[in-house]
Amino acid sequence: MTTATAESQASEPDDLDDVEESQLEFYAREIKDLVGVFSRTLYYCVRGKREKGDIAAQMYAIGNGSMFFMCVTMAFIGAIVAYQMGLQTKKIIPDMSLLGATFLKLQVRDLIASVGAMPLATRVGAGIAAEIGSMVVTEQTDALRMSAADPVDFLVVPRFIASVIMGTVVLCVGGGVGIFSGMLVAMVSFDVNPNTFLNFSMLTSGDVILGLLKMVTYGGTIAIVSSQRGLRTFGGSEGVGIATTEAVVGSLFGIIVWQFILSAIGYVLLPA
Amino acid sequence: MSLEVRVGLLILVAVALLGVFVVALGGGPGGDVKTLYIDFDNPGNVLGGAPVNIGNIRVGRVEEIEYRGGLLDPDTGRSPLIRIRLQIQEEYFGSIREDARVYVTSTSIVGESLIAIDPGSQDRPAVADGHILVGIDPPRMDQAFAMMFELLENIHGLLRDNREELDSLLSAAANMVRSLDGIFTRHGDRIDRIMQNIETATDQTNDLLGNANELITGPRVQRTLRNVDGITSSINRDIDPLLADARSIAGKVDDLLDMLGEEQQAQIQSTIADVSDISHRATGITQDAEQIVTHIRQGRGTVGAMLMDEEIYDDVQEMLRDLKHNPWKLFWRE
Repeated sequence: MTTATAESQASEPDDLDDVEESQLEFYAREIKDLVGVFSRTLYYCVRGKREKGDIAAQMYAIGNGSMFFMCVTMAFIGAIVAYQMGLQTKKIIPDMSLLGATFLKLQVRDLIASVGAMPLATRVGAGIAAEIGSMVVTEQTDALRMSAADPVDFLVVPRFIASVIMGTVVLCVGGGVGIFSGMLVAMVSFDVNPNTFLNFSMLTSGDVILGLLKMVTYGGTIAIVSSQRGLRTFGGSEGVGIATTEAVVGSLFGIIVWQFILSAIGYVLLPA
Repeated sequence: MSLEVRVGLLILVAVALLGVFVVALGGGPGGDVKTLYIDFDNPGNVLGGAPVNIGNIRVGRVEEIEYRGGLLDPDTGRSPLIRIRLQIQEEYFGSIREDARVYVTSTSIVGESLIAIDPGSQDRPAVADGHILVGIDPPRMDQAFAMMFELLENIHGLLRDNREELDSLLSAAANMVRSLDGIFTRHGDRIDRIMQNIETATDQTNDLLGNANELITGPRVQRTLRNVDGITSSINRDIDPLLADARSIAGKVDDLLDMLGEEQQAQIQSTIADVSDISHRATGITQDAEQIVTHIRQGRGTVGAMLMDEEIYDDVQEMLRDLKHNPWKLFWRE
């Protein structure tokens, strides 16, 4: 698989039609590859064999390891969003009584998951891609194949499960921190009482369900995209670097695409 | 602390945070709820799940919005277009009375629509579970805007079609204001005096009315009124016997006339005619006497001049005094 990709990338297109055709083929192949990794991951989630403590180690690395970074990032994001919302509200209607309610709705329905998943993707996605890519370039995955073991089962599945669970956990905790920091900013900058700010009247169960669905999806997307890029690494340490970059870019792109799809589904099934 | 425990702790924290969030979202650990139906013709922008408030306290939520299409409800005898089912927490449900007013409002100008309940008077019985109330429809802003737009259109058309008339009207009004200003400026002193006079007149009128009031309520008027009252009472008391006597006298006169013969009646009529003639003559004599007296009072004629003219009176008096001292002048002229 790795050799075929390298050959396809090495072949130069002759004219514009060839360029378009090769690009289309490239994206089609990428999507097919992603779907293949994802389906095999789901299969091995049910039927696979894992070493004891493998998933826990990955959960610790993805969840506990990202917690401080995510809390700080989400605190800043919450503060910025609350401050900007307050400023805009002040310009239009100088009534801050619903600032908290709208902030909470926006955060829970969308921003905690979608904006929080981006820094998570940079840290977790890069880690997964670098780790698996290093194994690929040092031919450890070839050794697994020679042992009749699928690298997806041994390398991707623990990271996928850990990313789905701990991505959701980290985003929940980070979201709480973001809400708290937003509440502080609203209190200090706009004199909004914390009780007034924590107004859940505009939130619905649909908002929470949609937010959780996004967190789970983004966690899985980061793991699948980063693992797929890691498994396609070639060319030594430079290839690992390229795979890491592509993993972050691909994860962010995947998050944006899923954001669009899930928001559209949520608009239809779970209206705000 | 092992790696698994640390991961578990983090998951527990996240689950606890999510649990708190879900509990807060549900408005805290809720108790039993009761159902209340509200009939509307147009409930505005109320959606399912919208809050229900009593005195700005959230007491429930909109559970279902049912379109009835004006179907007659035999229980209430009404034909509502929309029926909304509310779930109210039991602890608040008892405060809602049968005369409760239910209306649609919003948290702010652009806020979420909600159902607000004014619980009604405490002397009325509380509503039962499943009771149906009639809601007050919110104002139709779209209709208001449409009417306002039509009004503005009409005003614009009026201004556009009557520009010349309006210009002349405004010019005339401006001239009138200028004229009035000139009048007030030129005759400010006189206007002040007029106002002072009016003030004085009103003060005097007040005093006059006060005095008149005192007079009316005073003892003399009261006494007069009592006397008049007494007189009218006496008249009322004596009028019937007097009328009876008058009727009796008239009857007797009729009898007397019936007893007289034609010759005697003729004599009486002749006598009456003579008396009438005499009275006419007496009247003429009296009028002549009055004319003479008037003549004398006006100093006309010899007697009048003697009586009324001071100078003649003085001359006569002087002559009489002179005659008293010199009686020979009656016989001998100097």
